[in-house]
Amino acid sequence: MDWQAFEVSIKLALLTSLTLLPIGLGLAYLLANSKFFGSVLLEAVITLPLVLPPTVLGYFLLVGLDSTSFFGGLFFSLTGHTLAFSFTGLWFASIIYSLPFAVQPMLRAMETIAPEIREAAWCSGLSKWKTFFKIELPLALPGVLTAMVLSFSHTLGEFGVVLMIGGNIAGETRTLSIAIYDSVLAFESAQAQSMSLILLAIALASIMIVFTFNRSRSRVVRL
Amino acid sequence: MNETAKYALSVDAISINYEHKKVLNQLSLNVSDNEILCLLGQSGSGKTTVLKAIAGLLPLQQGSISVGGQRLSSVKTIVPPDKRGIGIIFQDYALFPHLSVLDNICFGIKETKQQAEFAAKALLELVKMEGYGSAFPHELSGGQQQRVAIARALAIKPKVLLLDEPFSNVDHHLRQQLMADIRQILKQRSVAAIFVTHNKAEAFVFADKLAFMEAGKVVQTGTAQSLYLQPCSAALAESMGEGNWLNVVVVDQYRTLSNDLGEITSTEPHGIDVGQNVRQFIRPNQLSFAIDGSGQGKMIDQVFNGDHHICTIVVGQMILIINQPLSQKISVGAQVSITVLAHTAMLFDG
Repeated sequence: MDWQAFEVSIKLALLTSLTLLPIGLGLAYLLANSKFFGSVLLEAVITLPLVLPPTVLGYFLLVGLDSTSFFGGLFFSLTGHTLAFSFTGLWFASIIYSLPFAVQPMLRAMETIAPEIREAAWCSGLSKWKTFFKIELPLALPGVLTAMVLSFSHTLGEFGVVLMIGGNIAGETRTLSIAIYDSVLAFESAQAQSMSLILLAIALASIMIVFTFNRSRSRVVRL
Repeated sequence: MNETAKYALSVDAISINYEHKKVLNQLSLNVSDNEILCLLGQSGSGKTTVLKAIAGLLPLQQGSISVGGQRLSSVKTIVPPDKRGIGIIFQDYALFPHLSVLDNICFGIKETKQQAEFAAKALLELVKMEGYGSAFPHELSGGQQQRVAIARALAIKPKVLLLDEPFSNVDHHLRQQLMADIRQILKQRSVAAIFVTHNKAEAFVFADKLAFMEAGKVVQTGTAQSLYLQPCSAALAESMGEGNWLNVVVVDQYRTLSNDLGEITSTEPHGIDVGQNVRQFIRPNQLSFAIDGSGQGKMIDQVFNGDHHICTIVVGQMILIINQPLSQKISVGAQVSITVLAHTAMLFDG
């Protein structure tokens, strides 16, 4: 059992889903509340990682994060570190890779809120910010929770992208799913089995948490 | 003191475009202090757009909106909805589903939590919902939810209240009482209000003054009676109640001539040129009939309406709807002669 890989995986999944919370909320709010020029394109770009082969996404990220690229170069000149084959690069890639899993549930939840609810809140003297935090966010909470759990478990299980841009550096970019792959290649089936079971248990537990919460809530609030 | 300060609410020649279509076209209306104005119009005439503009939810392409003489919307600037002091009530109530009734109301009260709850309880009493403070919206009936929505809208002590089809989803038997209660509350608190509906019966009961909208404009404002008896357009005449259309020729300033009914005399001059072919609108209660073996009409149908019978009578090529008092007992198949009762003529172009 590779506890170091387990730690990298959990840390990456937690950081990614926490970063996706404000990013997802912002994008979902924007897409739910305004139909602007290019909003269809924006939603399509956000959803793209869902259908793109992870190796393709990984390739483009590898090119984009390379220190000879604009973004990678900027990061290098600011921090003195390269993004490719580093934990930070992996974190950045995971944010993009899991973005649709965060945005979609939040967007769907926000779209179900009737515009009159928001307008009634404004006319009751609540500013746009207060309306968001006291009315819209609580009403979209099941979607937000689903988004968090999905992006957490999706990041935890990510393989292709990690392999492409993370390499396989122990303690830095070797995640649990890579470690499982390594064990299988090395015929260490007992290792592979225990690590796979851990991932399975975490995935099952997190989905059950969402279902339990959403069920108990739908008894209180019928939307 | 400017012109707009005379009114609780003054909407001055506003235009709003939506997807390259003019939804409101230089619309103007004024609401005096303590007055309830009903905005009537067919669906798609832009009624809800007017409310949204007044609430500050839509930008203006032209014109301005003032409350108590203070300009809230113009082409350049819009005071945001939460700073306008305008309450709004929707057809679907739009209560916050995750909050208790008391919390729904407390939001608008900018005082300490204790004072807010005290004020909210007083409002609940006002709308006859005391004891429901801890209930959630989904536990209430439509009428009860609308009462809570009223309390919530009143919590900000609005200068103007906007009501968008507020009674449409309320059970019919509760509607009359709810309308009477809300009207009384608005009068008691001296709140000016604009009330949107397509139901003229609600307009008659609830409003002090009616404004009729057609193609993004207010075409006529006045009492219910004046809109009913002297409508300025054919669409308004039909919206205010059923009637019969006759093709007539103008004989003089008072009289018109119909092929089937003969000469019809107006109680007021109609102001249309002699010799013109126009359409005349006559309401079912502006006609009467009597049994007459040699009369020009024949009754072919009769429907009981509680207050009277609605009779269908064929005259030549024409079908007329005429109300028959319950005391008059003429039945289907009878040959009748028709009399036009004294009224002011309603004449419209082709």
